[in-house]
Amino acid sequence: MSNIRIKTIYNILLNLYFPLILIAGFNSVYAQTYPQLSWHVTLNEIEISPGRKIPYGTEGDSLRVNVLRFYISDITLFRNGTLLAKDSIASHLIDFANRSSLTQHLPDEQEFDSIGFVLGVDSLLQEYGIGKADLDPVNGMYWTWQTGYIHFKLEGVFYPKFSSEKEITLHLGGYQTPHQTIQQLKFACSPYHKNCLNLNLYPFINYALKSDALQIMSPCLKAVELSANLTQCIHPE
Amino acid sequence: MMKTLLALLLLIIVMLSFTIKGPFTIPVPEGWPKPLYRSKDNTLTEERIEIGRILFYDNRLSQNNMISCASCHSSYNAFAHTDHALSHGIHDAIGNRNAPALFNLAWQTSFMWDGAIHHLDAQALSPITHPKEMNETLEHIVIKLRQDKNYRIKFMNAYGDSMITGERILKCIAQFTLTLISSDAKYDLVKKGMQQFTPQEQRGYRLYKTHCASCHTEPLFSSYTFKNNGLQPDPILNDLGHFRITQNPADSFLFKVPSLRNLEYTYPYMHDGRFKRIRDVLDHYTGLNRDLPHLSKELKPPLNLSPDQKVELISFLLTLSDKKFVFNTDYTYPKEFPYSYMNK
Repeated sequence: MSNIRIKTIYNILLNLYFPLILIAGFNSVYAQTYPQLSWHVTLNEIEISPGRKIPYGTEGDSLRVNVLRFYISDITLFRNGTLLAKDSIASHLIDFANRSSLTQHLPDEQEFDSIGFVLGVDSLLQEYGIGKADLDPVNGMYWTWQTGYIHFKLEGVFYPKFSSEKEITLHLGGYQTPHQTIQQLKFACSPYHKNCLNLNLYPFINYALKSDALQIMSPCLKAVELSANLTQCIHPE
Repeated sequence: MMKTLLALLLLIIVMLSFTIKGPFTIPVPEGWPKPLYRSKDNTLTEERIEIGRILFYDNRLSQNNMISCASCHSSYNAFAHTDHALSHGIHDAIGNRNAPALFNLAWQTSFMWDGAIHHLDAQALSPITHPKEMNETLEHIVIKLRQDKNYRIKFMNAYGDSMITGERILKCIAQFTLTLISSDAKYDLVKKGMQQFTPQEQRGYRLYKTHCASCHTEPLFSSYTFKNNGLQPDPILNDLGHFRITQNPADSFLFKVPSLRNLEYTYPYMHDGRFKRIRDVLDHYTGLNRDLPHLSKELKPPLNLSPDQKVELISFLLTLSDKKFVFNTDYTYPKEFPYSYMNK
């Protein structure tokens, strides 16, 4: 490599160094200053990774989660039950395979004591058709053979120790009664910390197994039941 | 120097005036209700409608780049398809339903024969991804179109940036289909006092008002509701209609009432295309078993039409043919768009 080329590369790197340091610094300050909501997906105590087979319970069964995506919408901050601020982004797509989607920056409000959101996509938003960004149907979360967003998508395989494997395809959605699956959630939290919610899939999958509801791909009463159960599986850490 | 600059500026302004076309409002024909289409974020513009038209005719929306929306929705058939009872798509796969005609969509709030789609902006996603229609993913279409310089320019003109997204693709298609308005049939001219029905057509009109108008309501000639019209279910297709969407047993075998406009161009008839002639449809309604348990209440009273009355009714129905719509070159294949398939 010629000296001139080395010098050019050196200059480019030198020119990039300070802006990058600045950006990194800004990001770090931003992350510390702004309250956040982040998600942690587990199977009881075990961390779930996409596509990895992990033990399920104590009976020797196991589970592999390939796809886990869901929407949260209308993030709202409260103090003493009074609304303080609303997130400017209507809906966030939490995609288990995309680490950055597991954290949402909350509105710049330092005095809130609880946070509320909708698990799914607001029905009013759905009435207006399709949305952009996280709501773009390109994300594979819009039903193609019928109408509306899939609020929660879980695909994987359950491996029982003593019988053949069972495919899991849970596409939970529906925004019109009686198949309304949107769920309201509210948690006490602290504005000064990274608020982390734990989604423990164990009780949810257990419920789906017991209800023999491992294949749901359209709005139906089983989807409503499972969605209600799902809210019981989300807890602040 | 100054003069040259001014001349250049003027030239640019004139050129821009030709390229920027601006907002588009859905025209409401005289005596029609207000359009029902509503969208928070899909402002109609000439530029977006133009993209929608190009997309409607673009084969790249299918997995093998061979099938476009227009393959099943031909402008010369009032955007229906007349060759087959059931629509056929990619690799000649035969679908489950007769491709419906596309017009006056701004006055409808549910789409497909079973009402599967509740918003026009989402409509195109269904045929695009259906394995027997276009069998493509929206994600892959975005990748294909982003490689096309001409599309990038079109999107730049329409949105102010050249970003091609799934949302924009679907909304542009919706915009084009919103412009498909059929309101220039002889019937419309008679209503405006510009033409007159023949005595035969007039008698047919009276028969229509007595026997058909409760479901095929003027001026759109459909109530766009879901009805059981007494067709025996096809045992092979086993199409449950609206039930598939609502899961309500009372909605079994209910299908969307189609418009009677442009009947002349939109054969075959019914959701499964079982009738080729209007006469066959009338024979079905006159010979119907009225005791069917889920038959729509409008069809319960007996319907007796003499052969002459059937001819009169058909002659009226033919006054709903809108030649101006069917041959409107604003809706046909956009020859002016230079397809640069994959920048080839």
